[in-house]
Amino acid sequence: MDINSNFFSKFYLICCFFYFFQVVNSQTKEEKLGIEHEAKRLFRTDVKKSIKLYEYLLENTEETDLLHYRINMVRLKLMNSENIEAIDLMFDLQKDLSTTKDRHLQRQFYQLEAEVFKYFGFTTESGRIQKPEDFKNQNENSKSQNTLFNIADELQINPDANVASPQIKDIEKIEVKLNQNIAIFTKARYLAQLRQYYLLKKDEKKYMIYDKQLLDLQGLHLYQIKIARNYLASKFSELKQEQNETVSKRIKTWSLAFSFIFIGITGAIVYYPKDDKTALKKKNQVISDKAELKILERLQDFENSQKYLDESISITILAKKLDTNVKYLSAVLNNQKQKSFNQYINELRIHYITERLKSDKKFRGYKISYLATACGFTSHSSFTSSFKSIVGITASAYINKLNEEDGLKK
Amino acid sequence: MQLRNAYDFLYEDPQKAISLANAIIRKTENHDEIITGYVIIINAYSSLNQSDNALRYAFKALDMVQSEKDIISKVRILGLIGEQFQVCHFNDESRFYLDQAQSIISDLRISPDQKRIYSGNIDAIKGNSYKDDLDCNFAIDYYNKAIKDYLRVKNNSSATNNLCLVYIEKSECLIEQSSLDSASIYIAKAQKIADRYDLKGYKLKARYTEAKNLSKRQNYKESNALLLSVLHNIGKLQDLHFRQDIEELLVHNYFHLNDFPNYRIYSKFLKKSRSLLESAHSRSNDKGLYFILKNTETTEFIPYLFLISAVFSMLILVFVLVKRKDQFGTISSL
Repeated sequence: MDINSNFFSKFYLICCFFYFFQVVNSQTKEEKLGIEHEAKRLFRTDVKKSIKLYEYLLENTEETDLLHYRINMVRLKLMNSENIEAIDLMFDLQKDLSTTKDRHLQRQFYQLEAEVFKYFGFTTESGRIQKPEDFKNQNENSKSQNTLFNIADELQINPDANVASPQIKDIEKIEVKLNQNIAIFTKARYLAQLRQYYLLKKDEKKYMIYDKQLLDLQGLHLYQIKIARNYLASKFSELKQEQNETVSKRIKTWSLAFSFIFIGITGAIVYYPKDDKTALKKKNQVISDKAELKILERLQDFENSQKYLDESISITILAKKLDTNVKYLSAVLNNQKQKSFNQYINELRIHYITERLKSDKKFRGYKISYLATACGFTSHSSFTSSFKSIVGITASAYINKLNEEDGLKK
Repeated sequence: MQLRNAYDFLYEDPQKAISLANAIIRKTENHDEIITGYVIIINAYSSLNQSDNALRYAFKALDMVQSEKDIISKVRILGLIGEQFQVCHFNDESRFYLDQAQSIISDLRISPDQKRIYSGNIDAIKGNSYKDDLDCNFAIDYYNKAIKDYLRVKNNSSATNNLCLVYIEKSECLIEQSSLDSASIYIAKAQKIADRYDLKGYKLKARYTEAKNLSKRQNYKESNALLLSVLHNIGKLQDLHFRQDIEELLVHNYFHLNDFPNYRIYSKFLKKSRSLLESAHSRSNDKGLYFILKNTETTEFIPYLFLISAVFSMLILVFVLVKRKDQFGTISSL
């Protein structure tokens, strides 16, 4: 029983908490909507109050609505001629928006950015910012409840523009409002109305007063625009420089990585065949299996004919004699005999002379140079060096050794 | 001779000066003549309130002097770029180029007087940029530096002309600071130079500044008399900014004189001038932004390392493949 009552009391408490949370939450939402509605209503008549209300919303809002309020805050700051603050806010907003995936908010921001650039006279950049797809949605956006107002429509001071003259009953009210803390664009509208009224009334003095005030206001506005243009251009160029540097860094990193990959692949391709002599052999065998056999047979004939004793024999001549070409003969010698052409010929010649020295004692009494010529060597030195490298001892030592052996036998 | 002709038309008929200078650039191969041609075009476009075109030619000239490593002309062109950005009211950008020019002046192998003229010019433009930002204290500091440099140069018409202009600019700042007596002294100095060398444009500017001084002293009638004589003498001078300044002061004076008919006439003129000037500024600013962004482009953008290694690797690969094809091709031909 106790357990059940405990469970129900806890369940009841949790339900109460959720109910309370929902009520508070919906109240807060309603309250915020009310505040925003009031802020929007006031932006023409009391922009400073409107800014304060938006500041309150910004302080007491979750992340999602925050960006939307900040977009409107940029517009309000412009309305209040706080151009530098508006530009700063816009660039901060751009950084924060780069992480959001909310396309609607992004579109709103692009529209704001394009409007701001256009307002300060950078029409080319404005057109570049406003993407074609956004143009399609421009009407939809400007009508959207989330957009406070269109900058180009609201922020104008044109002393040449004709405005409708107000009713006499409104004149006093307008003159009172002029002395209040109002935005210069609102003030410009009131001044133009009053000027028109006094022009129709042919009150030259009053006309001049309001016209001069309007001209001064335009002068102030143009000066503020000039300063803001310089600031916007500087900020924008800083941002572009940062972006370019980031892209440049990224490209450099990728470039470095790709360079290593390229060099690695090239290195692998260049070094791969070195370790793969068998691949070359296989290729030779596959291509010249029959031809190789033929050449081997012809080589055997060549060896038997002792034509290697010919001093003028070279790989080219031999290849011709064997009815093949140099590279293939070289490949066959390499693969089948594991020798170069010179090694092969020298071995045949040295083998011939050693046999002759063994079988014919007369030869043992000849000079080394004669022996060299007899077996096809053109130089004495190449014969001696070849003899030593093939037999292991010099020719004269070999002859002595043969003589000694024969002496022992006797 | 042809360059002299182009120079003569610079302020009288800038469009003609531009076509003459362009013809010289097309014909000649002499580097100095080409640069002078560019300088004429830049100044002519500037007097036509087309700073965007002036900047376009200035950057062309900068590319040329950089590729030819002509440091002396580089200082001149950087100064002109700074001046054009200043005319567009891009004062931060203007000072960026002027600082660049200033940093290389000391390395130039030119006479001390020439150095003083270059340095004075840069300080004068910097002064203008601070004056434009309504920072007259800073502006006066730079004007004083420029005046000091120009005064040390002997017998140079360029230095004297520029000194005259700096006196006028400084006096405007002094009026802004309500130092009206000091302003009168500098206006008188400027007028003396302008009269001695018959510098028509500067005479008019000095008289306008005097009118401004008189207006500030609430002597509206005398101020207007001077302004009307200036306006009458402007003639073909196409300096919209100057015209607007005169009309603005006339409107101000007629307002205080309570002269409604004249107030209406000049306020109409003023509204028209403002509108023309604002659209000219707006166009120049719009195009000028392109030149500011040009400065942000990094020259190392092309991944050289990547290209070099790719080409190098390809060459090795082709070499290896050709070698191998040759080897196997001969064998297989057996």
